[in-house]
Amino acid sequence: MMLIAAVLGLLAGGVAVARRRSTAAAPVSQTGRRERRDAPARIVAAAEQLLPAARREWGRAMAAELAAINGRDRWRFAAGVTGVALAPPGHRIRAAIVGAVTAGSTAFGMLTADRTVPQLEVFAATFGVLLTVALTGIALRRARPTAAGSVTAAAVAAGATSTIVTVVIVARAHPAATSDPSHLYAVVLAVVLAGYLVLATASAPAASGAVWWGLAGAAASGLAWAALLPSHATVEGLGLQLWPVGGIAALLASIAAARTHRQTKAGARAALTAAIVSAPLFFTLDLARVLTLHQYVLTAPYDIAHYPHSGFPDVASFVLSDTLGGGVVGVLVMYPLALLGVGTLGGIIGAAGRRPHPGPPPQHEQPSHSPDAQ
Amino acid sequence: MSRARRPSAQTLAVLGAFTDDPDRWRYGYDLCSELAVPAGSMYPILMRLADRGLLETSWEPQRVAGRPPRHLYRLTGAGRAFADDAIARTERAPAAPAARRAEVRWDGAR
Repeated sequence: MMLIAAVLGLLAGGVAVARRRSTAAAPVSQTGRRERRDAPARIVAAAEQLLPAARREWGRAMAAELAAINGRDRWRFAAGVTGVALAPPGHRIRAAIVGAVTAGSTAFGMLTADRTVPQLEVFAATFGVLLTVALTGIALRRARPTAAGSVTAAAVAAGATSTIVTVVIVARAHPAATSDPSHLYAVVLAVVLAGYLVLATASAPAASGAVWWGLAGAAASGLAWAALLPSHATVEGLGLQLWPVGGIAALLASIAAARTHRQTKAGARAALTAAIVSAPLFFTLDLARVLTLHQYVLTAPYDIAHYPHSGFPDVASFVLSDTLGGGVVGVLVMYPLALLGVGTLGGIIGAAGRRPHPGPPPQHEQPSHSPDAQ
Repeated sequence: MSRARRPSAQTLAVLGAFTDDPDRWRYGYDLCSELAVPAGSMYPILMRLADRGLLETSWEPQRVAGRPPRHLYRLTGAGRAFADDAIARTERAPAAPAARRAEVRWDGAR
């Protein structure tokens, strides 16, 4: 409970800081007051952010055009701009190939799941559909990924694979442990893993330095966890040691990233990278530890009281189901959120007293040449 | 190496609008309104033409109170040559199959 409250508190602080900065960045009118944007203007502003860096000037052009449009046409124009942002010209054939390959892999994965681990069929379908949509969207919008983005994507893909393989091993050995009539955990697991992969590929080239710091933080966590594992002969208490180690590594990485880039958000980006790379590793280590030690014993009073009425055929399935559910919520959802809060804090600490890098001058104030006629 | 693809009907319409007065700078939204082409189609066309060096772009030089400077477009020299060639080809091209079918009489005679 304390942990959840701390995570929510850190997130609320981060959101408050982000809102204050967003308000400060809003356009200023001639009278010096902050302009209030209507819904189409907000949509176009959001769409502008979605465009790849090479198309940002076009985003500014479309946003400027909206200012000259009145009435219901503003909505039509905003819808058109959204379409351009979601599928800008240039990579449509590549996106079609990526979409076809991922959709084919999804169909194959669903068939395999149906034959081997039918209780994971909903997970396979949800994960496959989300991945198809996400990768097609990324292929449409992104130019060549940066080296940092490629390494992160590869690390997250490896982590997601190890997570899925571990869940499949549990499902094959103890089918009851992964049987969930509501399919809630299957859907959450699919959404989270697909979200990690999207976040891994969503870093802008300017954020590469922060991403490298995040990768260093994840590597430090992994090494520390590997050093801790041999000293643990029981399944109890391992997670409680992995959490603070990951938190300290993320904090140090975020402070370093914020100091290097003189920006709070560089710290948050480093922590986010550390989180999405290390969380699947954390999940796999925790579950693998339970699987290899075979210590299927009920120790908590609640578990002892709950087990006879749980419907599980054996204690092992009960313990593994509990570990899986705890891993999905506690490790794959709460842990990255906590690290994001820690990273925001580290970003504030690292950027304190450091002036941000001066950005490039606004291009629309300096036309390439003067149009001679209208 | 870029492939020379036949322009779409909408692209031809946009090129036609530019060639009506080649020296005039145009706004994106004005082109949308004039040609009844939605922004979601118009801007990708403008982007592709600019990518191929057929369209030059600029920002309004004068500040207008209450709104940001707008983006302006007109054909480059290469763009004018391309537009003239594409429009001439379309005018010389044989009628579409549907149009040709319409010329066939009920008894099959042309």
